Amino acid sequence: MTEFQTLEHVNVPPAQTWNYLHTNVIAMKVPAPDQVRAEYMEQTSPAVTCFAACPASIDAVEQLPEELLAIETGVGDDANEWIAASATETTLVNVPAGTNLERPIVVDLSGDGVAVAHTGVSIGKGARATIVVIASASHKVETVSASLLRVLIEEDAHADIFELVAMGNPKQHIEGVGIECRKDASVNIQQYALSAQTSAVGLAANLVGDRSSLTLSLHYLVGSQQTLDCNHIVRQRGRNTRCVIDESGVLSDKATKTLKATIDLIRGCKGSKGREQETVVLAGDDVVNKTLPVILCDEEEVQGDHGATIGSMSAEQLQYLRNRGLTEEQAEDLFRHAVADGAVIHAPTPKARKVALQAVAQIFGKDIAEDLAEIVQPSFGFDE
Amino acid sequence: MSKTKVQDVDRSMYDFIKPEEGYERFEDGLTPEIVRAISEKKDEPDWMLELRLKGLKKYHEMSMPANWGPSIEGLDMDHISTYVSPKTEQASSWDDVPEDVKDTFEKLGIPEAERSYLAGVGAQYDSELVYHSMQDSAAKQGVVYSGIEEALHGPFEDMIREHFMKLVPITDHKFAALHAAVWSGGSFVYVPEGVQMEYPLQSYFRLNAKGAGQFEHTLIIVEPGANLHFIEGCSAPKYNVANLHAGCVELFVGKGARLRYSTIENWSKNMYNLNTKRSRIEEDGVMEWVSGSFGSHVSYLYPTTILAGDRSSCEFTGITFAGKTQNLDTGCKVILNGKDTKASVSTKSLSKDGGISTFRSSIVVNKHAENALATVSCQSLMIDDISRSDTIPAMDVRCQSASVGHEATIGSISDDTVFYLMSRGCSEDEARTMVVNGFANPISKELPLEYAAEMNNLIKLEMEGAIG
Repeated sequence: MTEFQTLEHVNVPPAQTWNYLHTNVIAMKVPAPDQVRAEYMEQTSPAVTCFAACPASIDAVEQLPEELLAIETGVGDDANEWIAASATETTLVNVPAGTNLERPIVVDLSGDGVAVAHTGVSIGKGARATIVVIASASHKVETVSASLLRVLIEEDAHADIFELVAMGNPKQHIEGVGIECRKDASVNIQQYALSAQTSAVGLAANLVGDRSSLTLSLHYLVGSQQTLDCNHIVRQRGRNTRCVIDESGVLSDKATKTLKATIDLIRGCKGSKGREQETVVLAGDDVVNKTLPVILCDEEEVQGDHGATIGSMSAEQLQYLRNRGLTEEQAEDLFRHAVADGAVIHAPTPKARKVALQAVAQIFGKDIAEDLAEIVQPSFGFDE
Repeated sequence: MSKTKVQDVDRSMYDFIKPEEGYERFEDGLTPEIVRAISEKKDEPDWMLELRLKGLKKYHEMSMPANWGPSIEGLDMDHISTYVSPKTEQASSWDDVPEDVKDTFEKLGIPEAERSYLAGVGAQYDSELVYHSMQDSAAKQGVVYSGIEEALHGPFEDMIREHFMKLVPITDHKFAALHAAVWSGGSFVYVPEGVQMEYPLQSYFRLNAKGAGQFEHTLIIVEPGANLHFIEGCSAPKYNVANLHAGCVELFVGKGARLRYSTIENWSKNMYNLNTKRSRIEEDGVMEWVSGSFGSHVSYLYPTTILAGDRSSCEFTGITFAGKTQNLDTGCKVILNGKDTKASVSTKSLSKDGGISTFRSSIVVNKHAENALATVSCQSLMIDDISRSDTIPAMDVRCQSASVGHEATIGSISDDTVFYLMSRGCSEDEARTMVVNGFANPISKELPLEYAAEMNNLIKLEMEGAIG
C-alpha cells in the first residue's frame, strides 16, 4: 500500500500576501521517498542523457557540489528535500570551458512509473549548452514525477533551457529549476506546460554577475480540472543585469492556474532593469486565474516594470475574427493552438518534438497533430 | 550628479503635547474588566457589551500572519491604555471645549476649516469626541452627523445594530477583534435618500496621550441616490513609546448613491496604524477613496470596496510617503461581485531615508461578475539607495467575461530630468522637489484645495534639504 506525505509549502514566493487568497503556496501529496526510490529502481534507462560525441561529462554522484546545492530553486525547501531524498540517482554534468555543446543535455522523465531526477549542470567559462527537461507519461497510470535542476553558468557562458510538461490528466509533476549567472553570463528559458492533473513549476534565477541576463517565456494550456502553479523568482544582484519575463496561456473548462512572478532588485544592482508581463486568456465558465506579480526593490538606480492582462478576447478581436468566418470557439482555439504549436516549433530534440506532438494529439486530435508534424519542420538537425 | 540629502519633516504643526492632568486614563493592558468598564462608561445596550467581550476573546485567540507584513514586535498591548479622555462633555460650540483641547484643534486648523468650507465637523481627542457640529441646512435635509455613541441612544440604535461590525466582522483579523472590544468615539453619518451634500463633512482624530490607543468607529450610511464627501484627518505628537490606532470604518453606499472618502493620515512616527476600512456598494453606486499616508511607524492599511450591486463602481487614488523609521504597508482591496462593475486603482509611493513602502492590493472578480472591468496602476519612486519599495498586487479572476489589467513601475528620479530642469534655472533641490510634486500631482488634485495644499506642503517638507 502506498504511503503518502504532503509537501505543505511548494512554490513559495519571496514576498507573500493575504493567506485567504490561497495564492502563496501549493500543497502536493506525494509518495514517501522510500517508495519512490523502490519504484524508480525498476526503470531501466537513466533520466539524464546527452547525445553521442558530447564533450560534457555526465556522472552519477552522491551529492552535488556545494556551489550547485546552494543555488535557490523556485519550488522551495519542502520540494527540494523530497526530490533529493526520492531520486535514486543524482547526476552532475560538467560542460568544459569554451565548449559549444552542439547537442542538448536531456533530463527525460517519460516513464509510466514514478520518475524523479536530481541534476546539476555546471557550464564552464565561455561555454554554451542546451538543457532539455521532458516530463511525459502514458495516460493510464496515476503517478507523480519530479525534476530538480540546478545550473551554474560561469562567466561569458550561455544556456538555453527548454522545459516541457505534458503528463496527461492523472499525473502530478513537480519541476524545480535553479540558475546562477556569473559575470556576462546569459540564459534563455522556454517553459511549456501543456498538461498534468496538478503541476508545480518553480524557477529561481540569481543574476549575481554584472551584465548577466535572463529571458524567460512560459506558455501554458490548462484545461479540464487541471491545476498549474508557477513560481518565478529572479534576483538581480549584479550591476546592469537584465531580466525579461513573458508569460501567457489559456485556461479552459474548470482549470485553475496560479502564477507568482517576482523580480527582486537587490541593493547594489545599479543600472539593472527587470520586466515581467503576463497575458491570460480565460476560455471557460469555471476557470480560476490567480496572478501575483511582485517587484521588490531596495536599489535606487534601477527600473522595474510588470504588467498583467487577464480576460477573454475583446469584442473588437472577436468581431475581426468573426468577419473572417471564425466562431468564438474557433477564435479561442487559435490562442490554444499558438501555445501548443510553439512547443512543437521550438522543440530542440526529437523526443521533445514527439512528446509535444503527442500532447497536441491529446488536446486537439490526431489529425491536427499529423498536420502540424507535416507543416512544422524540426528545428534540430540530428536524430536520437 | 550629487544626491539630494533629505531632511526629516518639520512636524511642529502636529508635534505638540498637551499635559494629561485631570484626564481619565484606564490602566494599561486588556482585560474583561477594562472592556466592561468602557462599556459601562458609555451606558451601552447589552448587545454591544456582548460584542465587545466576543471581540476580546477573538483578539486573544487570533495571531498576526507570520508570513507577510511589517513586524509589530514593538507594540506591547500590556503597555497601551485603551481609554484616555479629557474630563469634558461633547460640545457643539468651540467656546465650550476646554482651552487646551480647543488650542490643539485651532493649531490644526479645524475650526477655521469648518467656517470656510465644511458642512459639519467632528473632533475626537484621545478616546472621546469633544466637539460635534453640523450646519442647519444639512440637518434640515434630514442628514444625521453625530457621535456614534450618541446615536446608539436614539432612534438610530436599530440601524446601528444592523450595520455595526457587519462589513468588518470581529473575526476579520486580530486588530478588528481588538477594535470590537475597546472601540470608543467616532462618527455616525446618515444621508437620506436623494440628498445631495454640497459641502463635505469632516472628522478629525487627535491622539495626544502617551502610550495610548485610539479606536474610533466611523459608520456612514448613504441612502439611494444621495451624495456625500467625507474627510478624515488624523495626527498625534511623537513619543518615545508605541501608540496604537486601530479604528474601523464601515461605509454603506445605496443604489445610485455616491460617496467620496478622503483621508490625510499624518500620525507621528511612533504610531502603529492598524486601521480597517470597508465599503459595500449597491447597484449603480459609486465609491471614491482618496488616501494619503504620510505618518506612523508601521501601517497596515487596505481600504476595501465590495462592489455588490450591478454597475457599481469604485476608484481608489492613493499616495504613500515612507521616510526614516517608517514601514508602511498600504494599498487596497476590491471585490467585484455585481455584473458590469468597474474598479480603477491608481497609487503612487515614495521611499526615502531608509523608509520602506509596500503597495499591497487584491482584486477579486467573482464568478457572476459578468463584464467586470478592473485596472490597477501603481508607480513607485525611490529617492535614495537606502530605502525600499515593494509592490505586491494579487489578482483572483473567476469570471470569463471579466477584464483585468495591471501595471506597475519602480524607478528613480532620472539624472537627465534633473539636469534638464537645472539647465533652465532650477537648483537641484528645486528640480527634485518639482519632479516629486509632479509625481504626486494626480493624487493631490483629487483632494479639496486646502487638503491638497497640506499634502503638497508635507511633500515639500519631506523633500527640503541640502545638496550633499
